[in-house]
Amino acid sequence: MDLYPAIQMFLAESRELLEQMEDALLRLEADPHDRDLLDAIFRAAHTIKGSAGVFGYDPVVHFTHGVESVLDRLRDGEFALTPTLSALLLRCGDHMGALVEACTASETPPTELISVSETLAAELAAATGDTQADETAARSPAEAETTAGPARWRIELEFGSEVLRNGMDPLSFLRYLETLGTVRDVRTSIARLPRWSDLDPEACALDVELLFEGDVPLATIDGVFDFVRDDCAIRITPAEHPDAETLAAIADYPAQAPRLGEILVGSQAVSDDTLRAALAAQSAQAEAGAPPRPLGEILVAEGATSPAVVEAALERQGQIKQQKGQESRLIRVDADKLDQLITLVGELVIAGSGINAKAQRAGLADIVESAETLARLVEGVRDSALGLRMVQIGPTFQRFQRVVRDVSRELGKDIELEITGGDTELDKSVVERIGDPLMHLVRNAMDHGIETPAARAAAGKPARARLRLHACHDSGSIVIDVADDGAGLNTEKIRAKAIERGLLAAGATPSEHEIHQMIFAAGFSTADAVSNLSGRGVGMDVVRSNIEALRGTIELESRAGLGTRVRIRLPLTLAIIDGFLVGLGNARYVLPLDVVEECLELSPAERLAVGKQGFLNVRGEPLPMLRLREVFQLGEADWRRENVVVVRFGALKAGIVVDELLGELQTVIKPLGKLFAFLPGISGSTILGTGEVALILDVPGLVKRADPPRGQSLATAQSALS
Amino acid sequence: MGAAATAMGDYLDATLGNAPRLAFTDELTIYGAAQAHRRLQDALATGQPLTLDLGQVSELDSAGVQLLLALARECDAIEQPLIITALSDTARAVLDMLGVTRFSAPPATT
Repeated sequence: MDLYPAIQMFLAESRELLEQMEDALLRLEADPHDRDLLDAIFRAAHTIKGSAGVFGYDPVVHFTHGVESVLDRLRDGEFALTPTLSALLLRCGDHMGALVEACTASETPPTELISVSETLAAELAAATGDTQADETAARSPAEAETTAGPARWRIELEFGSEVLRNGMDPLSFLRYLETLGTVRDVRTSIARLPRWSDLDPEACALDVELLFEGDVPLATIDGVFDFVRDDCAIRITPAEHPDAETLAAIADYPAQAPRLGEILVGSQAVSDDTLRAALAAQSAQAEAGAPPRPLGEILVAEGATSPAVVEAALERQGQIKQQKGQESRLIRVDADKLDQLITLVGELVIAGSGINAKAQRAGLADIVESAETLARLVEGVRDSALGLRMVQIGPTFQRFQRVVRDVSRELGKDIELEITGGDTELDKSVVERIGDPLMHLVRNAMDHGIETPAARAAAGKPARARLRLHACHDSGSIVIDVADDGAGLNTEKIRAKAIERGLLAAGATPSEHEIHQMIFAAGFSTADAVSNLSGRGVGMDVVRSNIEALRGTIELESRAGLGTRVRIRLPLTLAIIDGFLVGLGNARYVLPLDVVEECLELSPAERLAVGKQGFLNVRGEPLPMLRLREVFQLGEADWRRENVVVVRFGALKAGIVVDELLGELQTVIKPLGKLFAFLPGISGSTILGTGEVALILDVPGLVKRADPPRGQSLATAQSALS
Repeated sequence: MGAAATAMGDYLDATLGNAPRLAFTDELTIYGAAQAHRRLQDALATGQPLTLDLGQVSELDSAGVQLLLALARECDAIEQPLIITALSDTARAVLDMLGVTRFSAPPATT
C-alpha cells in the first residue's frame, strides 16, 4: 500500500501535460491569439500544480504557481505573448519537468534546481514587467475583482472506495486546503460505510463536508482535487453569492460537472436554493404527467436568471461533455500486461496452427472446418492484441518542433519543419527506440545539410529552409523519411574521405548512390568542424546500427544543391508476422508474407539458366536469383523440381530458389540466441504447429546479396536478355 | 470533563475483570487497518464492554479514523459500551481536523 503507483501516475501525467503544454506553446507562436491554446497551457500548469500540492512537492507548487499566474494574465490579455516570453515559458516548462522528476526521485530536490527556479521566476517577472511576481502578486486583477474579499465555499467530498488503496489520504487534501485558506466546520460521516461485519477496512467510504474561506479562485480550490476526481464526488458551492462576472465564470467553469444546474450554481449565476426550487418544480411537473420543461426555461421564467446566462452555460456544458467523452475513451495500461498478452497470443497462434495441422492430417472434415474458424478468430485476436501496442508516430514527430526551433535559432538558420503522416501507427517499442536515431538525423540535416540564409539566397533558393518528417506504410513496413532541401551531400568529399579511411579502393568507380551510403560506415564523419550539435564522433553508423537492431534498414538519397533524404524502413511489429513456409529438403524456412510478390515454378531449362547467369528473365525483366541451397551450403538434393519465391524489399526485387512451397502460416518470431545472432540471412526462428523449428529468413539481407552491384552487372544482364 | 472521567473510572472499576482492553501503539493507518479490524472484531465478539487505549498512537490516518468511526457506530448499534481511555496528541489533532468529536472526551493522558 505504498505511494509508489500514485507517484508513477503523477509522473506519467505530468510528463504528458508538459508535452501538451510545450506543443501548445509552439503552436501559439504561430497564432498568438488562439484562446484555446492558452487555455490548454494554463490547464496543464494548473493540473500539475494541484497534483504536486497533494503530494506535498512544494518546489513544484511554488514555481508552477508563478508560471500559472503569468499564464493567467496572458489569458486576460494583460500583455501579449512575445517571442522572448514564449521562449522563457518553454524553459519554464522544461524546469517544471526537472522539478517534478527531482521531487519524485528524492525528498529534497538539489539546491541548484531551486536556484534555477528563482532565476526563472525573476526572468518571468522582468519579462512581464512585473515588480512583484512573487506569491502575493499571483492573482490577476480580474480574479481580484471576482473575489472581492475572501470567498466562502461549501465543499462536499464523497471519497471513492479506492482512494486509500491508491495511496491518497483525504487528510492530505484538508491539509492542502488549509495552506490556501481557512477550513472550518469540518464534518466527517461514514453513512456509506457498510456494517462492521462486512467492513473492508481498506476501502474508503468517508464523506467530508467543510466550509472553506480563502482568497483564491474557484479553479484553484477545484484543482486541489484533480488527483481524485475520477474516484470521488466533489461538490463545491458558494456559501454566499457575491455579484460576479457570471458569464466569464461560466466559460471558465472547471470541466467536472456536466449538469447545467451545477454549472449555474458553481459559477454563481443562481443560488443553490433557487436551483433546488427549480428542480423541484421540474420534477413536480413530471409527476403531474406534463412533459418536463428544460431547467433553463424554468429558471428564466421565474426570473432567476437571464436567457443569455443559460445559453452560455449550455454551451459550456456541451464543451465539457465533449471533453469528457474524449478523456474517457483512453485508459492507461501497464506495458508489461500488454507484453504478457502478446506473448500469450503468440503461444495461442502456435497452438492454433498445431491443431490445424493435426486436423488436416486426420482428414476429419468437420474438425478441419472448426479449426479454420478457430484460426480466423485467433488471427483477429492477434491483430487486435498487436493493435493495442500500436501508437501514432505523430507525438514523436511533434517533439522535433521544439528541437528545430531551438537549433535553427542557435545556428542562425531559418528552418521550417513540415510533418506529414503523423497518424501512421507503429509498435510502441519501435516508437520508443526510433527517437534517438531520428534526433541525430534531424540535427545532422540542420547542421550539415541546410545552408545559412545567405548561402541559400546566393544559390537562388528561398531563405527559409524546409525540413520534412514523413511517415507512411509500405508493403508491410513503416517508412520514415527525414528530408531537407539543403545543399545535399558533397560526393567528392565523401569519396576522398572514404579512400583516406580505407573504405574505398583508390581506383574504384562506385556510383554516386553507393558513395553516399558510405557515410553510414563506422567512424565516418565529414564535418570539417565539430559543432555543438552533431559530429561529436557519434556518426551515422550509430544511427544505422540502431535501425538495424529494429530489423530495419536505412538508405540515403542526395542531390547536390537540391537536398538530402534519409529513408528508414522498419517492420510493423517485432513479435508476430504472417509467414510463408518453404522447404529445402527436410528443413523448413519462413519468409515474411509481406515481402512475397509471387511464386514461380522453375522449368529444367530455366534451372540451367539460373545456374549459369544468376538471374532469370521474368516477363522481360531480369530478376536476380539466389539459390538458398547455395547460400546455406546444403549441397545438391536429388529433388527434381525447384520453385522461385519472388520477394520485394523496397525497390529491390529478387527471386529465392527453394525446393518446396508449403503455404502461408502465422508465425511468432523467437529471437535467436546470442551465438546465432550474427548469422547472415537468418533473422529469427519459430516453432511450427508440428513442433518443428523453422528459421525465419532475413529477406532484406538476402535481397542485398542477390542484388548485383548497381550499374554494371544489371546492365550486362539487360544486354544478355535483349 | 472531570465528572465524565470519574464516571468512566467507576465504570471501568466495575467491569475491568473480564472486559477486553486493547491498546494501539505505533500507527493506526491503512497499513495495519485490516489487522486492527480483526483485533477489534475478536474483542467485539466477547460481547463485553470494549476499552481502547489510544494514548500511544503515533500516527493516525483516514483509514484509522474510518475504522474507529465504524467501531463506534457498531458498538452503538449492538449497545455494547466503547470506552476510549486515552488519546495521543497526534490522534487528537487528526480527529479535530476531520471534525470527529466522538472520541475526544478523555484527556490526552490517563
